[in-house]
Amino acid sequence: MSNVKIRAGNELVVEGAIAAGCNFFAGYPITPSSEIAEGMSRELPKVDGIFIQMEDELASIGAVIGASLGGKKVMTATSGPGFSLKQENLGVALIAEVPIVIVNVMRGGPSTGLPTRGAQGDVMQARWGTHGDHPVIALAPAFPKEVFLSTIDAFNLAEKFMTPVILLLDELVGHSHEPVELPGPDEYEIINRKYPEKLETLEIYKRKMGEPPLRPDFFMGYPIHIESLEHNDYGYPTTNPEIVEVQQKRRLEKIEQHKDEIIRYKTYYMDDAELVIFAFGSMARSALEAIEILRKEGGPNVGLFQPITIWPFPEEQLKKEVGDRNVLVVELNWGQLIYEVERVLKNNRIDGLLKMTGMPIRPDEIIEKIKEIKNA
Amino acid sequence: MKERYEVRLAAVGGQGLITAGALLAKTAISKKNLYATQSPTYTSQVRGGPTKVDVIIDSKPIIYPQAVSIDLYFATAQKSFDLYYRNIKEDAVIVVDSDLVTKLPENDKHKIYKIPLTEATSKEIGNMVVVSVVSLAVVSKLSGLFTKDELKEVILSSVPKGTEEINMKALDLGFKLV
Repeated sequence: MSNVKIRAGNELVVEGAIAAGCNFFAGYPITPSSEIAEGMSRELPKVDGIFIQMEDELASIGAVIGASLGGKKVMTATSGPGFSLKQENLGVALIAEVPIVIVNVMRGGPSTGLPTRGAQGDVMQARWGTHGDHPVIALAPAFPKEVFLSTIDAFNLAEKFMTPVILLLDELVGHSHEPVELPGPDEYEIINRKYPEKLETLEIYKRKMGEPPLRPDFFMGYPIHIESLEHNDYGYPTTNPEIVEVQQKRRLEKIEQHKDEIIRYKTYYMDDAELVIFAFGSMARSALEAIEILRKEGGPNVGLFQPITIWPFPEEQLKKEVGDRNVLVVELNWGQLIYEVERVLKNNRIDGLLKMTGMPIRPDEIIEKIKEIKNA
Repeated sequence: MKERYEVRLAAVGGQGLITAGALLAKTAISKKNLYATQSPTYTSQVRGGPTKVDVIIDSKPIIYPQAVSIDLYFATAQKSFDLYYRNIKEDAVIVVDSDLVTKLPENDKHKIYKIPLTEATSKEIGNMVVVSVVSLAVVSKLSGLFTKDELKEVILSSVPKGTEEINMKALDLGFKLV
């Protein structure tokens, strides 16, 4: 194990961000995400990047939006209470189409809730936390190498689609220190923001339906206008219903039409599985452990569908992989993604192991639930 | 080494047990070529809040890095002992700081070691900062996981310069206390 390092998930976010080319971080420390701010404050100066500890979470996301508009690759990190505070400005980044990466290391809520027990309760908040219709990209890795690569992915997707990307870790993923062999630069791609070769018009939001905007950053010498009101192609406020419809659809379609490119997932032991577990983050790990124990004990044979991209939801992928098999959804909350699974798999039997006590759902609890379903 | 060995260290913030857990995992990986994970849980209180760290050691890659069936439970604070006294194997070993964990569950059938960690550290070393290394030594000896020499190298490569001597004293003390 020569190339192996011991790293916690939060440290891998820092290493992934630096590898992706992040050069601006603004944040306000909060457990269980603080190691990300700590690590960025140490690593960014080494690559001529900028780290700012802001006065609060609102200012932090404001600062990263501003820095992104100025051409930086940006990130902020927080946990549930801070993620709540960031929702308003998350909407600004969505409507203005500003690439930013927001890390939320989930802990028990609501409010200041359970510092700092693991939870997966911010899944729907990631989807709908900010008001109005909007597209969302959210990645939720489980294993150390996935955390590193998903962080790079988050930057790539943000820059490519000119949109905020949410990286959802749960506390267990953020804090577990584990041996990991980090992939080298030849094993991942880095995507940088694209710019128009020549700006012939200031209609910076004009583009083909399904594509992200292609525009200069601030301070490149063009008098461009970007703000949080619904806008026309020039970025100036409008309430004209025909223009509003086009702008709303443009933002949704740039994600919708590229879902296959955005959605990442993994499957385990699916070939002979009579039941499929749907679980992400730390619960995918608990489920996989349960599955391997059951296989050693002689069954029942269970498989795992592990979404890494949870938004947009992997509808077609789930349908294709699961078929007509029964599904058990394991989430460290009282039921959030299970509603998406039910929406997509209308004719399957779907059970849930849904719980939030501040302690993880253990593999033996999953095994018990599987046996209960089997005997029902 | 049998398949999976789970250690849970329960303490309060400031006692350094999360560091001890990290050193345990590091020793397993660097000295025994095993797989190991270390998952801490702590509160928003920097000092005084109940903390725990689960260390899993295995000869194969670890899928689930939290304790589910604990082989060795070590506690240095009563409130943490009570909170994290769960998922302990029937044949597990329990170790407590006898000065700080005084109420043990009735009818507990585990093999329990009561060790005067705090008193001994303060009397023989005079600096409570190294109680984590004393604890690490106690856990290593009772579990049979690591020898003093294996720990020595890892501790020396991890502690701040100038603290080597006091940490080595702590290591000796831990092995002596068991």
